[in-house]
Amino acid sequence: MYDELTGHAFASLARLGGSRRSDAAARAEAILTRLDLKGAMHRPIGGYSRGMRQRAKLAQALVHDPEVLLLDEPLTGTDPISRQTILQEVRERAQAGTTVLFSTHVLHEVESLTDQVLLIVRGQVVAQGRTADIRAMMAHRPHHVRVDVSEPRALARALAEDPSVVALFLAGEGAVTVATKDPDSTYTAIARAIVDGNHELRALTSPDATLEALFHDLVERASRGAGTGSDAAVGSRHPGGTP
Amino acid sequence: MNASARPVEAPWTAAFSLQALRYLRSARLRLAAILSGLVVLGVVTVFHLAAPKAPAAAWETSQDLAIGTLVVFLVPFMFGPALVSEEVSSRTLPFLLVRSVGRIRLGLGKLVAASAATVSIVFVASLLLFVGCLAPHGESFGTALPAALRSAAAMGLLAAYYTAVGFFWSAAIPSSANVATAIHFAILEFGVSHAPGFVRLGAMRHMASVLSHNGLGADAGGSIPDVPTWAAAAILALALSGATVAGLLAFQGREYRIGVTS
Repeated sequence: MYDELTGHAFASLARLGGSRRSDAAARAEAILTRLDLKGAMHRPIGGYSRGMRQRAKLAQALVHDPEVLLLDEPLTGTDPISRQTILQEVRERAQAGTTVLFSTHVLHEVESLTDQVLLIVRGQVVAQGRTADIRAMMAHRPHHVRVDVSEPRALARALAEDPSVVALFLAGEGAVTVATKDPDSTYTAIARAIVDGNHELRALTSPDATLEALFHDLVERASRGAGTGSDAAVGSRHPGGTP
Repeated sequence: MNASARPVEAPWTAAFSLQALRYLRSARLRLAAILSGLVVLGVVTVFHLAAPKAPAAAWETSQDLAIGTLVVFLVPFMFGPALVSEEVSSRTLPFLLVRSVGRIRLGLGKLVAASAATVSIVFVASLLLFVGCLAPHGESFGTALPAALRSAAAMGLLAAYYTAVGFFWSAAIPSSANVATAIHFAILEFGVSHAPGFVRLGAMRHMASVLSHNGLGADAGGSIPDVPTWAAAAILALALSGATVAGLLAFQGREYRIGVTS
């Protein structure tokens, strides 16, 4: 960034995109205000915090209302408030029809924006599409369901007979984790066992459902050499819609 | 997208405005002005301490030392070689290159802004030197004023050429632009301008000397080729144009590897 410029001057570089001087200045002020930089927009960028710099960069990228937005690690070094401001702006742009390509290592933040992902491991695309679809296509990998109940051992005994269950793990005093290759059947079996055993259900979660877990599975798969090159890639070949 | 905001190719003046704004807000411009001022102040002080009997002739020597040997090299060196190389090293060049402004316009805008800065500083420093040296000598001051303006203009033109040379090296080899520009200035300009005979014609510093009539580098005795003033002006202008075009072509054609270490 040009540290000697003010945030407003930096965002006004929309002139390099062909905007008129007055138009660029008005647009710069508007987008800086949206990104909570109005009070600092006439100060040199050199004095900005990391989060403010990220927001100033985003303002500069958005000032001319682009149809396609490429964001490379826009959340790096940001505080929670800056992060929320940036994500909210990106979310609104995407909902308004802007195509957003958002590169990040902070996967759980991407989940709040979109379920359309493209995962890259060591320069290779290993998965592309909706998170749930990718998970469903990974048939080699058991799906895990964590059930927090009043009597986990009793529930585990009831589920042990179900053919869809691959393994059972007691997760502490109040929970059991079920590994399955047929999640639909297993969810049905869990529901039946809870009702039949009159268990008190406190929570039902799937740790595998997160993008982070999916990414780790795919990295592990790629490391094992279960598939390299095109063989390693899973998911749809054609990403649908915009993030 | 709003139709009024649909990208069209920006004019070179947009790149000029950006670069000029950066200069106005940066320490580089102030530093160049301060250094030039210190050089002028030092030479003016020595001039008055020496109390020359022929002030106008002594002023020409002072002009040669302060402007023709120091400021005209120093100031363009601070601006020209950084024009592209600093954008490569700070990784801001991709930011500029994805704008809807062509490289030729982008380079031209940056070069014109840098040239405006260097020419202004060199021109003003030349006039300040003249005023500082000859203002106390009323009669010489009035007589030498046209020559001072002519000399300042010649040095300004030379500064513009040197800035374009720095821009060329900055665009051609950004990783070593400073070294290449320094060697160019030292050997092809300062060195050659002191060479005997027709070799000297290869140095634009010599052409600026002819143009200003101040005899820069006249220590080679009577071997200075006789070049008409108009020819010196034409050659210097041609060299400026050539360096500018060469720099723009280098900027246009080069593939910059940003952030790639080898």
